[in-house]
Amino acid sequence: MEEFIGANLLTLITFIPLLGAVIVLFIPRDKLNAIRWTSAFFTFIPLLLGIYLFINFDRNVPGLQFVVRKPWIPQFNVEYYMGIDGLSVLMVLLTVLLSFLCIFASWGIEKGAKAYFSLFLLLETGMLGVFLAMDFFLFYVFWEVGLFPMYFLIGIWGGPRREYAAIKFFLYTLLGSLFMLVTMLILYFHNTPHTFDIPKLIEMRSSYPVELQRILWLALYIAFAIKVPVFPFHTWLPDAHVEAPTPISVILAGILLKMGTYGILRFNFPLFPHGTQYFASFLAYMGVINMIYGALTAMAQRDMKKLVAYSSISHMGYCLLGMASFKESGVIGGALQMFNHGTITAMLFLIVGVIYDRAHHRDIDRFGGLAVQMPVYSGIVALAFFAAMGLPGLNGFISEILVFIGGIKAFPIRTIVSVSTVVITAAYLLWTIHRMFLGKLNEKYKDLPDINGRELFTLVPLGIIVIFVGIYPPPVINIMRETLLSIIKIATGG
Amino acid sequence: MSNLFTLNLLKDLRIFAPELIVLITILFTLIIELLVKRDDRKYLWTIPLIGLLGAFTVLLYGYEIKTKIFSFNLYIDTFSSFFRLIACLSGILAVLLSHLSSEIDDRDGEPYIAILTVVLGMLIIPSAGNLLIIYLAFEMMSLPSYLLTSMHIRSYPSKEAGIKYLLFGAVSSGIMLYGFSILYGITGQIDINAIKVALHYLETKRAFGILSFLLISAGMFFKIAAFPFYFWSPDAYQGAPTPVAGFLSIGPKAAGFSFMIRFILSAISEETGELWRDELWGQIPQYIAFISAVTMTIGNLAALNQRSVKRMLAYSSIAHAGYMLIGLSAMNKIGIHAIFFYILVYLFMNLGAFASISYLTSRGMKDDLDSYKGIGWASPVFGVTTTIFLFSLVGIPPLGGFVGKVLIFSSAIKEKMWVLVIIGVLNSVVSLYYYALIVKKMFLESFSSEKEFKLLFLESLLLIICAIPVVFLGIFWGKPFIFLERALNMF
Repeated sequence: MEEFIGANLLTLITFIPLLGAVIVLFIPRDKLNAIRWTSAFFTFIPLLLGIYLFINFDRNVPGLQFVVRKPWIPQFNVEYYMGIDGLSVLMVLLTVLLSFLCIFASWGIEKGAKAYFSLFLLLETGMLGVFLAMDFFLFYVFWEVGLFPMYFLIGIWGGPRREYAAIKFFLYTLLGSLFMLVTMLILYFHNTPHTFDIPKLIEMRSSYPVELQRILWLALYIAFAIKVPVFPFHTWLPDAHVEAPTPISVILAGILLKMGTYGILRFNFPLFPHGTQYFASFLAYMGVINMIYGALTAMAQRDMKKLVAYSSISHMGYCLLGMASFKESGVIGGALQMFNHGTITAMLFLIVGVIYDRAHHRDIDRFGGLAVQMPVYSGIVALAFFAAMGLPGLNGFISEILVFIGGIKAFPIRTIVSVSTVVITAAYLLWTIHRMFLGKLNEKYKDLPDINGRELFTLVPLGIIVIFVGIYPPPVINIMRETLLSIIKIATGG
Repeated sequence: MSNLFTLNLLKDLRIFAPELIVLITILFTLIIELLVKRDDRKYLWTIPLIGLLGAFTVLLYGYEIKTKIFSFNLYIDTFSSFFRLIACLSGILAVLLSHLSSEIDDRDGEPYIAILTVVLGMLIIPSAGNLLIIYLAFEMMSLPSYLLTSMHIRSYPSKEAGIKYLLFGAVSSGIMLYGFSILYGITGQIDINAIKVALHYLETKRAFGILSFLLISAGMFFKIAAFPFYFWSPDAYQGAPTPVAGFLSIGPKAAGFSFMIRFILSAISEETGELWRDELWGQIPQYIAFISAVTMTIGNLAALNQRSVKRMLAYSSIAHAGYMLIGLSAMNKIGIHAIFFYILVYLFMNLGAFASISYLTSRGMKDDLDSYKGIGWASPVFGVTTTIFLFSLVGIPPLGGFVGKVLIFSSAIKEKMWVLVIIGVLNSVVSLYYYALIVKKMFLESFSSEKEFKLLFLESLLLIICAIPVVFLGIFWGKPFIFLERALNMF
């Protein structure tokens, strides 16, 4: 048994949710609780496996571990090739954790629950596959499999403008992924024997002409930048976030956005070192623009969900700046920011969901003095907001400071300018706390109940991670260090 | 001597069995229709179905046969076997769909006889070895399809569509025949292989060779509804009974491609490869690439604004002809494989999509977008399978249409035809918009349908039969691909 799990761990973790998606379809539609608990069960197993993976991951190895490799389409050298390394292990952990928590955040969904949970589980399979696939073709398939459940999840269970938001998301991402498809095929035909094997493609990197590297780098960059999203491709994000139901916003911001930065680190950096160096400065500019633009736009929002959405854009900018620096601290900071932002933003969206369920609106100005009425909730909000601000002792601080340390060596002026983001972020978050939780209690909300047990259950684990990583980051840093160092070495070594 | 001839004929007839089975089924259906009273013809549809299934099985057994029969007039090989299988499959699905539709009078034999005759034409085209047979087979396929188009009961536009189709079709056949006659004039041959050799040694009159190719390709572009001969198809599809429209969107297309591939591939095979290095002949790939780019762009842009789903799918099938032409213009092995694969997937996904319209119109609903409102919730089988067909038409993994598109784009990328690739990619994005409109109506707009919508058992079964291969070919396409690769071994 142990051996079987060891050899097929990644297959199990990826496809157990898919199995769940199929099983959920066979439960009668009026048995709501059965549907919910079955979904919870099929996200809980991947969570356990994810923790097992985290514990048993060999931190001194930069390469792939737990490799599963089988031929899929032999004529075209397409393989079912899964593997995990330091870059993906945290993403996988984040995915299984957030998926599990989001099942509980989805408890309130009653219309079409069967379809909802089934699509949700399918989405989890797609996301895990993206982080685990080591064959480009397989990666592409998973990348797209994560796409259409999202279209339905936003489009059916979303807010009033859901149809518009869903199709916008779908069209944008499909456009990006087709750029990736073309790049993939060009690389495939460039190498003889033709292959989709990512490590192999990376090995052959010196054979790609400089011109080709630059063009393909840009093509891949567009695919991933739409997902991150990097300015000016960000316009789908506020729409999608505002219309999506709470758990889907969590998944969207917590995991789907990371697929973009993950892709840049996994593909752009090692595949096209020349291209990466050529565009590093550009990437840093985009990071800074994202940070400042996102933060300033967030400040202007009255809708709390939109505010969090724009803060996501701002925080993803840190990842780009850190990655572009090529310094150990910068790249580690960028990759850590992916994980940290995943936990923090998940908390933020869950928090928005809690208040929206009670007040049925998210207009910041129409609240006031909630701290008296909902003390526990306010405490958690404060924790999450402080983490997002980058307060020392919480995980946001660690990754942001690492990004700045790396950035200041590589791009001093840009980094100094970008530090202003910290101030703007503090401003809009504190101002939000001020408007919502302090001051006189709005009479309309004097009967608002405090956060309930189920909601607490979704928020507390994330809160623990936020504090733990903030105080003692070595476990998460060490796990990705070796892999990231090898990526930096490839990207700078040419 | 005469003994030997009879012996050969008998042997040839045995190989010709699939076509003979279809022929006998036609006659049998005709006789049954004459003998049995109208009220007792409830199960008339099973006769063509059994006949086609029989032909299909025989073909499957004889897939590997490679020979030339009837004094070298018909080339039987894996290539023709593949396209004949496609012909039978599309015939089977069309018969089932016609039976389920209320747009076609099920108790009359004519629709079935017409479908069977189209299939018979489609069976002969891929194996036809000389120009005369090709022309006759094309006419055998076309004439009943004009008839089928106007078979909608009590519908005036259907008659108009039939006439329109007939007029355009007759002109295009004439153009094609003119091309054939020029080809015969300069080479003195009607056998494809002999023509190929003659063209190779043709020193002068090269321009005439090109001219004949252009004329013949014009005829083909009509059959597959490519630019600039696509005008007939939206009107014909919309006017025609829905099952017929679905059938016509596949049958003539597959046949047209089978002829083009055999015609072109014969010319680029090993011994005559130099032909394509010729200044004039060398332009042909660009010419096809141009037609392909314009065809898919026009098809997709026109589909964007359609309210009638049937018309939308008609334009989308123009666009798909454009995608398939990419594979032809690349003129490499993978491109031809891609067309094979695409046709196979397209058969299921497009007929599936037309089936969904047919179920709506059979229940007295209009074929416009609003009819789809909320149906996904009223009938999940209908909703899910239709979504599979539509997303597969867009090319979203893990569905068959995706693999088809990857192969198509691969062929162009391999030949470094960047402009064509970019146009193809952008077209795919555009197509998502209008296919998603239908999905949106089915699932996103309203939660519960006011109208009751229940599928009959046979109706759901047909949708599932179409959906399974679409999903299967998207995930496990390795094994079926071996099958396709063998189809090309003859070249």
